[in-house]
Amino acid sequence: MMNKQAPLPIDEELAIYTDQFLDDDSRDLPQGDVELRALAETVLRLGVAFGEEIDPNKAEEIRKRVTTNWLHKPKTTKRAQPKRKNWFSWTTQRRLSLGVSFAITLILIILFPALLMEPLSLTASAGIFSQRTVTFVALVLFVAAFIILRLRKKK
Amino acid sequence: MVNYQAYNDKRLIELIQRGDKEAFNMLYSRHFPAVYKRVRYTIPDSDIDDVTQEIFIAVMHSIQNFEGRAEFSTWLRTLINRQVADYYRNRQRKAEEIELRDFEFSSRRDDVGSGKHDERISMRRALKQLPLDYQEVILLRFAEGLKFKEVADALDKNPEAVKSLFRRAIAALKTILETDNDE
Repeated sequence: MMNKQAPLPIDEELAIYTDQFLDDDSRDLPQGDVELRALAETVLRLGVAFGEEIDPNKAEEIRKRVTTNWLHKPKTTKRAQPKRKNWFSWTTQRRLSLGVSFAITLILIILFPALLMEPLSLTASAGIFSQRTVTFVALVLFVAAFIILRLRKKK
Repeated sequence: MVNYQAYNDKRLIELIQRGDKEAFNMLYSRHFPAVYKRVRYTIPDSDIDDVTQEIFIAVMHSIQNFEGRAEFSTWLRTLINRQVADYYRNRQRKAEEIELRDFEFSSRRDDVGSGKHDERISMRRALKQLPLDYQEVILLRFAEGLKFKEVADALDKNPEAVKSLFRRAIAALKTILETDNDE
């Protein structure tokens, strides 16, 4: 029994047409399927618009200009250095920010139980102690915010 | 005598990093056509040479940092895309200004190729309106001349997916060109 060959999907047909056009310069548009023909026409239009061969003199002319630029700027590779420096300074600042954030978190973790415990151990002086703690936390947050802002400005 | 042609890109780059000019010439000859054609698809005719030159100068500036983790062609493609983006963005040229310059360049040409030049302007304008993945698949197949299998490798997709992407890209291009013609 012979298998009836299924038609190729349009993706495949268009790819085959494009290969034939670009590799073998075959410009005959496919017959039959209207959609495929319309797409093939666009492929043809695109290929023809930019299909000119490159002038070999142009390649040489640009190469000379590039080489001259390279030779006349022997320290050009150093241009990459500042990037590296920026990268380093950026990571340093990031590390500092992380360090400050870590320190604040640590202080808050240490102080948090104390803050929670205050209402349980209410004494005559509890109010004063609470006020001090709040002031201390506010001060820590203020200093931390100041440092972070300074670091950001430097960046 | 050193046979530079036998060296792969990685080896040539190692030599360039040590200041070997001949190695650069070899690498340049190998990649110039793809770079020039890719630029031709994206940059107005009047500036193709300058942008191509800038790309190779950028290659020379950053080649010391090339560590060979990716293929040179992939690295180069990224560099080209950046330079093209710079052309349109960093120089703060308005699109209309560029098109006007392009049309002026076209009208100065008295050869029969000026019709083709106008067609290129329409094509470039349409290509720029496509999503980036559509642009990329077209550029890889047309400008760089990669086979669909190679395009699939470059995009890390399977060939069927690439052919489907290509068909959708061409369909979108066709729609844009028709819309532009109607306006």
